[in-house]
Amino acid sequence: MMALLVALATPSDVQVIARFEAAIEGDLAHDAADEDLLAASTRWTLGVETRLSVATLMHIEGTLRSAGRTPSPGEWRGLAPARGRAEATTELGEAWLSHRRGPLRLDVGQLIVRWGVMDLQSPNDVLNPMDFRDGPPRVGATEAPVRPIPMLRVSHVSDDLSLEVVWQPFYTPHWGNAADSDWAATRLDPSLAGALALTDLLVSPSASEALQPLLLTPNPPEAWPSNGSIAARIGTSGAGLDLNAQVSWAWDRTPTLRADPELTALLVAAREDDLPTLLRLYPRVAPRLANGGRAVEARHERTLTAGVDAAVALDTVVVKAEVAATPGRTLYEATLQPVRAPALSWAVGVDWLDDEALSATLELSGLTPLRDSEYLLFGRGWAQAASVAQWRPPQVEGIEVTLALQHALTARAWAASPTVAWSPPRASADALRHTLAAGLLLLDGEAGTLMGAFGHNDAAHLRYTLSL
Amino acid sequence: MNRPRLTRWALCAAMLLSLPTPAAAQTPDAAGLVASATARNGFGFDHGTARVRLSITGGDQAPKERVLRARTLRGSTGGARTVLRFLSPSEVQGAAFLLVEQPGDAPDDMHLYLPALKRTRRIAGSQKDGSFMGTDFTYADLEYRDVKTAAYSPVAEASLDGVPCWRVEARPTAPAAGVSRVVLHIRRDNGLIQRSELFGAEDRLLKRYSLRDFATVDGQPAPSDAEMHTVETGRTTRLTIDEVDTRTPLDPADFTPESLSRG
Repeated sequence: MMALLVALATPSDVQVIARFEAAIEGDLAHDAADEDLLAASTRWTLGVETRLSVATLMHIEGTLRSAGRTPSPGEWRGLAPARGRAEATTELGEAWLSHRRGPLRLDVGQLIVRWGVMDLQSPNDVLNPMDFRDGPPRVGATEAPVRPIPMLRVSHVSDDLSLEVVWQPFYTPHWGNAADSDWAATRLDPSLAGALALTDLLVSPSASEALQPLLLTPNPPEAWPSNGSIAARIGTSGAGLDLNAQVSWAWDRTPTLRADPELTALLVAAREDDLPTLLRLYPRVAPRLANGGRAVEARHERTLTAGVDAAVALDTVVVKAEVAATPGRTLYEATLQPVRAPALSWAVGVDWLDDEALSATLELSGLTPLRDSEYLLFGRGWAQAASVAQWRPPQVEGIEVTLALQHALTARAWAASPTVAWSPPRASADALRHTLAAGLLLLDGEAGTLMGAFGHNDAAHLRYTLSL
Repeated sequence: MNRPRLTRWALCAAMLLSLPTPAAAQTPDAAGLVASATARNGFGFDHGTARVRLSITGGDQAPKERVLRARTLRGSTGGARTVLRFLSPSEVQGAAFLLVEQPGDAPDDMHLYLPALKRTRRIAGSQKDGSFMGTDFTYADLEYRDVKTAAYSPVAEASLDGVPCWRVEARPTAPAAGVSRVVLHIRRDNGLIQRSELFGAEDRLLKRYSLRDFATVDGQPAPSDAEMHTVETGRTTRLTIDEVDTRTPLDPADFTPESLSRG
């Protein structure tokens, strides 16, 4: 990845941000069908933050993304030969007005609001949808793995107590790939791939990315204000302790998807050249779809979630804990049948910091369904340990070593991501800052786990950063 | 005709009476002297905003510079709340730090907002001994922790580079970060700390704070140019303060962890 970051601060309260990033990533082992061997991406971000008055602040930024991927030659993706793809999209990033009057503050626009106290896995960080385009959120990521969305936040803050109420007027899904990517959701189960294989024939590669959220979240709730979500959080901070409680009445961003089983079987048969099955199913499926039958039935449910979290400073560490409970969330059983089940999400962790040289975070987190079944990705309950350690050896100027680890406690699955970054000394304080970084992503796991499903995506990346 | 003359004499007498008593006339109490010198934060004011430039030079590292906006509010319970928001360079731009002083010996509350992650994190109390944003100052230095809760030596007269000072030695009652004693030189003309030397084990000099220049803000002296030198690394952080504004009202709601994400 190559990055150019330019930030200009004027004497007044106006800050202009211009940022360019590019990434290149290579597959370490061509060990699965239709994998991309090389992926590259660039990202330009332009923005401005300015104070319109003593009480009003404005922030707006946008990003131009481009990405290109090259598959291994001769591979097939679904029903068509795998192709190199390149696409470009423009995105509105954070764009908000913040106005305060006394203890009241009003934030309106496209916002990121992150609740909870955990860094790596936060059960109470529920307001913004996740960005899965580059895979599941990676431990040790240097950017927030969430997307800004339209919302309105009213907060009232006093010395001892804070109260926030957030209203999201529209349903916003997670952003990810349903197909056409090494990180596509259909790779969670091979039988799902066939259901979306037709997109390779019907859709231009340059439009594929724009189509992915629609494929991943069919039939979303319409953009009426009545389909909004609301959440509230109350907290206190002081004397070494942060304590918060929250409740939300919001859309579950995991839809209940039921694919036409015969269509799925038909597409899988087509992919595997299973002619007898094709001939048996086609006469039954084709008329049904021609008469208006749905290939995929999708339902979206609202979820009531209550959570508490706390962080306390104890000597050299900060100890953190979170728990969130819901009477019903969408889970998929191992048979791919969606169910609504009560569940607890939880996390505990510690932060440790030794001057600037060494810092570490260790978190244990999990999901405990309160209805016994065997669930996709979570089994009968999921728990994992995740940690990030950063080391800046004082003896070597500009070196930063980061090691991020995830290890499942309830299944055989793990992920590791070591990175070494080096910034050579600058001639002066105003000179450009160059950073060269190299890293690995290694993951593996048994079938039915996230690391196992994407275990073929081991990769090495190279990153260059240039900043003022 | 005599009345104006009498008025002038009265004014002159009043002015003479209002002049400070010659400092050498009496030696101040050590605790009171230190309390007065550290009443305001490391940026020299206890209510207001300022632009602060941190320049790091020397040692075996390349020079660095950081610019931040500092805001301090004296809370209703007496403890100060300070928000530091980084303006440049880009790798720290948008980061914000909140320090809430707690009464007595209770550790202060500290929170750090990380803009890339959109997260506000609590920082442990003993992490105050850590470097403040990569500078030679620690969080503890900025709140004078090692000299505020300490046993003091008797105050002595001293002269530092020709500047008349009071010399007082502070031995922290809860030593941390290896600081065993701090030798303070406090200017006799305005009460600012002219030099502060932090000693560690075996009475080895660890760091030296030096006042380079000061300004008058709303009739009160305040440091405008100072530096902290770390002996072991040979590195120096110079702290330049300008654009001080103590008149614009500040809102307590801007001094909370929740507000750190909004400039």
